[in-house]
Amino acid sequence: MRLLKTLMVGAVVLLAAIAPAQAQSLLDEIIQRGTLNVGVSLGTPPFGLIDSSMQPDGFDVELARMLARDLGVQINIVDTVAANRIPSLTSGTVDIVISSFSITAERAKTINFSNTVYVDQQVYVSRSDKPATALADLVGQNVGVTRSSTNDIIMTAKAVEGTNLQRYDDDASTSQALLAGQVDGIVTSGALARAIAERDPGLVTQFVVASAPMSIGVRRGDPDLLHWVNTAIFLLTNNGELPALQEKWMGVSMDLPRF
Amino acid sequence: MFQTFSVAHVGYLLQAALWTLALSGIALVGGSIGGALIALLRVSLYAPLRWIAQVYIYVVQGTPLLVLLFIAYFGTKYLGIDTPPIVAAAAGLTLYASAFLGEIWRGSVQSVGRGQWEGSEALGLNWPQSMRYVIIPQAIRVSIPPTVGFSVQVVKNSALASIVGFIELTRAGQIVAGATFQPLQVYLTVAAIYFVICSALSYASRAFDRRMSATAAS
Amino acid sequence: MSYLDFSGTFLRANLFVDAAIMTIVLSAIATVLGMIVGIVGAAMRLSGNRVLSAISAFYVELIRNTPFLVQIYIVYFGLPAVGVRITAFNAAILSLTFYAGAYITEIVRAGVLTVDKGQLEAARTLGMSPGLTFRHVVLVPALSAIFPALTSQFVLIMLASSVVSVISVPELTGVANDIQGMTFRSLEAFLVVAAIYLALTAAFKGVYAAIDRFIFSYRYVGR
Repeated sequence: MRLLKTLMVGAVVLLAAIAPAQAQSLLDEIIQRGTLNVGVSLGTPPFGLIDSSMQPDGFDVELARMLARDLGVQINIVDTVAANRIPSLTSGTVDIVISSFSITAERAKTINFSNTVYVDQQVYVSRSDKPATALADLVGQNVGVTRSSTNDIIMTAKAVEGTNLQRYDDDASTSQALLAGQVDGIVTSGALARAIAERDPGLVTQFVVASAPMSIGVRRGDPDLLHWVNTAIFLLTNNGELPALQEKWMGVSMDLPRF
Repeated sequence: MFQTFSVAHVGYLLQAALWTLALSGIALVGGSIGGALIALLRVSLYAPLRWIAQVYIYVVQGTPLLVLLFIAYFGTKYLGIDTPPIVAAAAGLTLYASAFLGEIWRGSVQSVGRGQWEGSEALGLNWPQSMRYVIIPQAIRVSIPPTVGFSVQVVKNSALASIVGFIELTRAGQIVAGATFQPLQVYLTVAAIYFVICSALSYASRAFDRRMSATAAS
Repeated sequence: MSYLDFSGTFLRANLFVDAAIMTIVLSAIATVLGMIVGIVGAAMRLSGNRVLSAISAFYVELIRNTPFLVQIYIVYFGLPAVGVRITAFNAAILSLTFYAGAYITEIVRAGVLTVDKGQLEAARTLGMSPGLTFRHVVLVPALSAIFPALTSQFVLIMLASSVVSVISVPELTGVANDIQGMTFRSLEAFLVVAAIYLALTAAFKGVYAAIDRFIFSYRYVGR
């Protein structure tokens, strides 16, 4: 019966591929529907988290609320772990993804990236008594990364032979592995590294692995929606709301590179 | 920004536990419908129908639920069906529950003695009539304890829905652990909530079982 | 974009091979250790000693009424908070063993209860020591009675091992997840991994059927 279902899935999917693409832009659909579905990971402070009254909060969540406000629609935050960000976009579960989403050439083949909203650094964090200054120092060490995230991609490509990469499902698990001492160090975003050091001053940022410009992910083939998102970022930068948001959550505001 | 694990978090976890119950409930209702169908196919008089049911059970029982959930989550998307995570999670759990409930109920139907079939035949009842009036009423009595017992499995296994992005008890635990950095307290609380729900169900299953054996003995 | 494309997934077939070996190793070790825990658990439960029996019953209830995923989180992320730190692989083995042990305890207990009292009396009359009696009159006949239930449980252990990917053990499900991250082809990766699990299930069942014929060969005499 499952085999039958699989065959049916295949047949319908083929038909769908032959059928003409959507006539209407997703932008119009969102406005008509009256809700913007945004993929955010709620396990990735300070980008996405829950506040003390158990509501979604964080840099990404507040940015998502600004976009919905400017579109004049309601917001629907969909909790999305790192590995599900692109499948959620391509399958249409969410309209846009704002989830500490770094721009990479590989990802850009599958989805569209908007202009940058924040430039993060991927840093190596470990206990102060286990110092390291370069990737070569990590040989023989257990290094935690978040599966399918930018730090996983960077470390898979750049780690020196003999580095033992451990992959966890989301940043919450990766940072817990570090705090619990299950790994020697982790590669994570500079913002999360600051938050970890706030919690446990013994955990320090050792060196920068890479710079990671982050932006908003949009499905391919919809220039209207992509252009609207870029317009909104432009306006939020100009009226000072985006720099204020960076200041609030990251402690720094910056000039953003543009395409 | 960082919080200490508090009563508010416990409240959040309890609220998520309601979603766990809702998800399990939907999966059990869906699984009952699917399971009844599978059980009927499995005891039907036509061999090809029995084979279809057997293949279904073999495939579902031979694949981890986690993988079934991923396939339900991404597969429905590929079909172009807009499924929120709760529907995908419920669909995956329904596929799973159908196979197991189908087997439990087949066993219950087959536990009804041959004499009952022969008796209903002697009364001139055909197969659907014998099923409906003679066999199923007796099979239901036998099937209640294992069915309630299986519902414990469904509640526990709904934890895996956290991985496809549905915020139930376990995902809520991950999020709270991420915000508080106190995993031991958080996961012990999560385990305690599951324990209360599942123990209640296990107890109900045993109580049914005892009552059934008591009536059977008298 | 929306039709199935397995090319990226098949290109990484070697990753699936390593992962399948990890799944087999995890399941095999957890099955053997889980059997030991299960037999000890059942012996404690039936020992007649109230304390031992209560400990065993509590252990079984605790494991059976909480999700395996949460048990793993407690062992891997939680225990270090009280100073106990073990590697991901050992945490996986430990959680799988105690998970399996609880179910096996119940199966073995049910099997032992099927042993005829008359047999025990006969053994005593023959002057067999309690240890010898347990082995020859209780354990082996009980094992033969529960072998089908045990083998289903062994397959369930293999399927449960899929969950340990969350603590970074590179077994089949974890690798499928990695591959979906590289290829962005999630459905394909999981369809392939489902097929591998099915093949493993079939293989495990075949091995257990062979063991059944070998150990309990007397059952097949004259058939």
